[in-house]
Amino acid sequence: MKILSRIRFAHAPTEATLEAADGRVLWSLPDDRTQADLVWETEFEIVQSSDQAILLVIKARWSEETPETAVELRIEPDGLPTQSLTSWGRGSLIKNLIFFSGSEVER
Amino acid sequence: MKKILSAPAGYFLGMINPRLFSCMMAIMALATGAAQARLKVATLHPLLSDLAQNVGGESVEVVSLLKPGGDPHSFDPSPGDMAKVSDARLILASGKGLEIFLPRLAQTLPPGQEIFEVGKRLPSLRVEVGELFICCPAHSAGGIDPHWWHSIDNMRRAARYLADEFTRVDPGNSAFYRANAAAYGKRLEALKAWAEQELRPIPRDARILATSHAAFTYFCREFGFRALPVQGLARESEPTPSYLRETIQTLKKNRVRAVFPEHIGNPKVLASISEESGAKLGRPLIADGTGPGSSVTFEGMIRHNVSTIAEALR
Repeated sequence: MKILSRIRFAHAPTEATLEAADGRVLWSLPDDRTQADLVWETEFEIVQSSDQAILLVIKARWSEETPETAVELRIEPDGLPTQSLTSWGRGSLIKNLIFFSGSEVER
Repeated sequence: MKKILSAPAGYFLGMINPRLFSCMMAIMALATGAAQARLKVATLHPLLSDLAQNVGGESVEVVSLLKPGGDPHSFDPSPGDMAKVSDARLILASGKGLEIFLPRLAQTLPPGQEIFEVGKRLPSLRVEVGELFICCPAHSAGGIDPHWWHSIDNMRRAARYLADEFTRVDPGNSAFYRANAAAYGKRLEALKAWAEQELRPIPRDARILATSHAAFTYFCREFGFRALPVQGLARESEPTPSYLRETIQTLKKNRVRAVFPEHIGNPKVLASISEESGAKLGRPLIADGTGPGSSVTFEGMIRHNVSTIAEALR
């Protein structure tokens, strides 16, 4: 299944990755970024049927002076509705995000 | 090119002024080259023309096969229509079963021409009583609503899918198509924020969208409404007297504030339902991207529909 994801940080992290349930890294924060780069888009494929929940893991780390902050992950899986989840963290964050497909949706 | 400058005409021009003739030839060659470089696409739905123009910009020539004011539910392109777009690289269709003639059409395409169903990768919603429908016409129950363009999120995604498709057939302009789709996507995010703000004053119990045909499922899903259509997925037939009675009772029971006719279609049934149920008759909605006598843009359609619904229900 093809998925477009958008990761939006309220504050620029020092490290961040998006991983699949099997630990495969789907996206990581590029080295050539600036402090102003807060929104990232990436497209990837995962192997699963459209009636299963989608499990993704977001990991992020911020500098010590960063206040409690948020990261929003929006996904657009082919044939399924757009969904988003917001997680909060301070210093570092490792969050399992589960997206449900919804029974009324069909390809 | 050959038709414009036949040998005698070219010779005649050359006789008058050879330098001017050479110059004209060069300009025409450039113009023709530019025209040939444009990706030609034909569309089966006016909103797809708008989308293709937004994504393709000046690199794409868009030809709409459905005439202004036409009904995409009953439209079936004639061999003459298709002959006019025989040099188009792509035929853009909505998909989700709207164009039932697609398999037949696919067999008659000239070599190199392909159909791209823009809605194919978008989520589908079914017409069934539940979270999204208060009641629905029995003959459409269980069917997939093909009107995916009533979701702004869907149109934003469709722009991306179309940019992918344009890139596949015209890779040289990939960056241009993707940049256009991204810019259009940003405009649509702003449009959605505006729509949410406009609809916010409508109380939760008044969020029932009673419309002529079952075209607004995606709108209801996106903006927290429930649908109550009088006809089915297409404008195939007048509702039966028993269904009308049931609809009027449902409208009364749910204290529905307004019923909305459409720009296309017979408004008499809705007018009589409005009178019987006490729900006021709202201004017509645009269901299929075609207004009275002219095509509309997607943004224009959304702004019209949102304003009309907000005005009647808040």
